Amino acid sequence: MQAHASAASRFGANALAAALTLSASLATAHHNSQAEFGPFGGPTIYVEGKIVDIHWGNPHISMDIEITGGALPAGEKWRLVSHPIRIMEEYGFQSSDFAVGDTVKLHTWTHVRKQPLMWPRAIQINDGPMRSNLRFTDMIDIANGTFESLNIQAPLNLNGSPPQRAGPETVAKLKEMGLIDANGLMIWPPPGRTD
Amino acid sequence: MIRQVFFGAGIVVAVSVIVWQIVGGRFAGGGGAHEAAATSAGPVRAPAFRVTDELIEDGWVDATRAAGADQKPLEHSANSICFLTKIEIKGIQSPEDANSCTIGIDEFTGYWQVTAEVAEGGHSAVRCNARCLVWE
Repeated sequence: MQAHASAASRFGANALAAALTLSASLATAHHNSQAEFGPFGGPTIYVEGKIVDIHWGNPHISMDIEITGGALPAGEKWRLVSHPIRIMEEYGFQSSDFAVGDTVKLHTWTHVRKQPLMWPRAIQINDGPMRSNLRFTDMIDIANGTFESLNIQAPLNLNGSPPQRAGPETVAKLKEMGLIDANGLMIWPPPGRTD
Repeated sequence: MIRQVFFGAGIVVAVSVIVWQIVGGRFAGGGGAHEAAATSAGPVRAPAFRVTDELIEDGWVDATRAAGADQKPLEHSANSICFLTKIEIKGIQSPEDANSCTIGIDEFTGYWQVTAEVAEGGHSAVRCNARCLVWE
């Protein structure tokens, strides 16, 4: 069941699009996961599920998940959304890591308006490690001293990341902990430790 | 021509009767079967309607970065109907630069969803949003 309001893309279609446009918003914001799922340091829930479908594409990857356990009722159908392909790869995830039928364990945020959407803070595929999917939350947890207890594997792109999006308090704490280099970038693992 | 007019009028009358039967039976307790059900189950409550706000974030694809499709769930289709409220297209580069805003029901979740899409090879940007009428 599809009701299309499609703009055929050809020269001159701009006029048609303008006529159809009911909002003249000139918003230029990027996709903002915090607006939809809450702050990076906000509480997460733990859920388990089975992958029913995978869309490994832009502007962000997504997967259909049937819930099997955890904080959501078994049998519910949710869509996991995450980063664009390039960012997923920078985190260390590849499309070949996921397959329909795989089980996933997730520490995840859910949509602030109760839509069936989740944004994972960390993802465990089958019996693999629980891997981080949000480095800024890792920074917050590291600064708060809670990261180690979560048993979450840090992502490939944590080391060398600019930490500003984790917030000024977190940046200050990380500096005190000696985890910010001379260029203002995150150092991970901590000096003297190999992960 | 006349035949088409009569045919059209017939359709209108038929639809009107069906709607009258359904609405009348549901909200006024009219009609034999409805009346019996209403008597045994108590008064029928008229549904409350509300209209949702637009999504916090538009469905949005900026193909200067990467083409693709952005799907955003709206409301469960069992008790709502949704409609596009925003279609904003920028930067069409060629006749092949195809983009669209669509609204439909996602079979997996059962939710209405709005989809912004720029086809592979496109370089334009499209933003879409929607609102829904929900009855409860």
